[in-house]
Amino acid sequence: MEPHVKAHERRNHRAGLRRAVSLHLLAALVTITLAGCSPQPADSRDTVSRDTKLANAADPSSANANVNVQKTTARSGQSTTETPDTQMQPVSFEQWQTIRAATIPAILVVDLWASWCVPCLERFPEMIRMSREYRNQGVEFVSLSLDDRDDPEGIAFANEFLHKNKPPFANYFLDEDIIDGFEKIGILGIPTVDIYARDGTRAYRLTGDNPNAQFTEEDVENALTTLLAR
Amino acid sequence: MTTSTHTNLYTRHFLLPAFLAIVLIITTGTASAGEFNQVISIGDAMPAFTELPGTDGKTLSSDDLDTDVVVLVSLANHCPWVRGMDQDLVKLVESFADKSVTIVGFSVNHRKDDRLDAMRKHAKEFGYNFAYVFDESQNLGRALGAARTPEYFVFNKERTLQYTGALYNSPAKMNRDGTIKYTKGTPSEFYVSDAIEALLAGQRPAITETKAHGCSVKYETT
Repeated sequence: MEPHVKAHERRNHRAGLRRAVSLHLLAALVTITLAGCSPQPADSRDTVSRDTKLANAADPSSANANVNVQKTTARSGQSTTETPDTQMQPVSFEQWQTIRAATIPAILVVDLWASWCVPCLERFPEMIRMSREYRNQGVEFVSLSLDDRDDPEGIAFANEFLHKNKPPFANYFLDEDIIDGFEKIGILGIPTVDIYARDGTRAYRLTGDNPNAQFTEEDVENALTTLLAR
Repeated sequence: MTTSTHTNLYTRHFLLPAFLAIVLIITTGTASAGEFNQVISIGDAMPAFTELPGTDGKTLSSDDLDTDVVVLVSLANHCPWVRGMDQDLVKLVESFADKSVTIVGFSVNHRKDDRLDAMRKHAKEFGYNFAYVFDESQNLGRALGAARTPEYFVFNKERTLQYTGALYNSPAKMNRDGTIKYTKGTPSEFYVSDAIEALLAGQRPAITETKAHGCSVKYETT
């Protein structure tokens, strides 16, 4: 501010700055409020601190003590999954986040499915094929079922399906209210395939939400090719 | 301070943030239309369809529909969410039987148990009291962005979309033992019924789009 500026101009300037700061705050507030209304969780909301997650996964006193976290060679990122149990392991959403984080720095492919979703069952063998194809390239596969926890026959069917198909990867069941499960994952329907990059951020979400652009196995492989080249 | 300096400060500290705030409000506000449906938005015209074969042995075209309100709903015989809500769809049709409302179900999947022969059996078993047609070309489903079953599309007399999404706020699913479970307890908000009532009263629906949880529709690759 130059010294010859009159007092009332300085007052006006200060008032203008106060107004500007208020508007900036208003704009920021609007941004935060509206972003919070988004039905799709931002990746940052879906991903907590890597160190925290790994610490929780390794902490036997944490809520995840009973969860069989998949083992991953941290340095190479190569999968060392050993004879996964084909029975689904029930996990809360919070436990699921920890399990997912523990796969870092592997690339992670998550098959979201359910026994009531016929297209999911039909394409499951392709997930098994791809998991075998990519298992030595630092790519982990897991399945997460969105079956209804209040439908024991449905869960039994899902476990029987896994027993028959013998996927060479771990299988989890989201132990939440079924609609809450969809909301927490942030999806409208299944089959959905989420693919996470080596740093744990979600790089791809492949869905059938657009009838004119439903994903195929080719999309999964293209995504993996891209991530492996990074 | 010169006038131009004042103007620069005003522009930088007042107009720009205000403009950004308005842009945010506008862009997020319009996201409510087509927020969940990736193809069709509120206000879009109803896609035309021609001579779709129905379970009643007749064909149905969009030009045949002359009521004040038309409701299209994507269905799939095999889908436990469709089977879970079938009884309430039948009740919905009954509740508007004496009003200028047409409700049409359409099946899109090509799997055997969702095709016309199976549709006939399903319609009989579940007491369908509305036209149930097979969209074998999948053109209607694609044009509506019908990704889920059941997914509702409510059109006004001008045949523009006024509501799309779920039947109500507690989707019902048929479990493998045949029992029906309302996932969120007894429904308390009846989106489709309310949208129809509003349109019949010459008003716009208060809620125009909701998430249609259900089975995914499988579209054939071309």
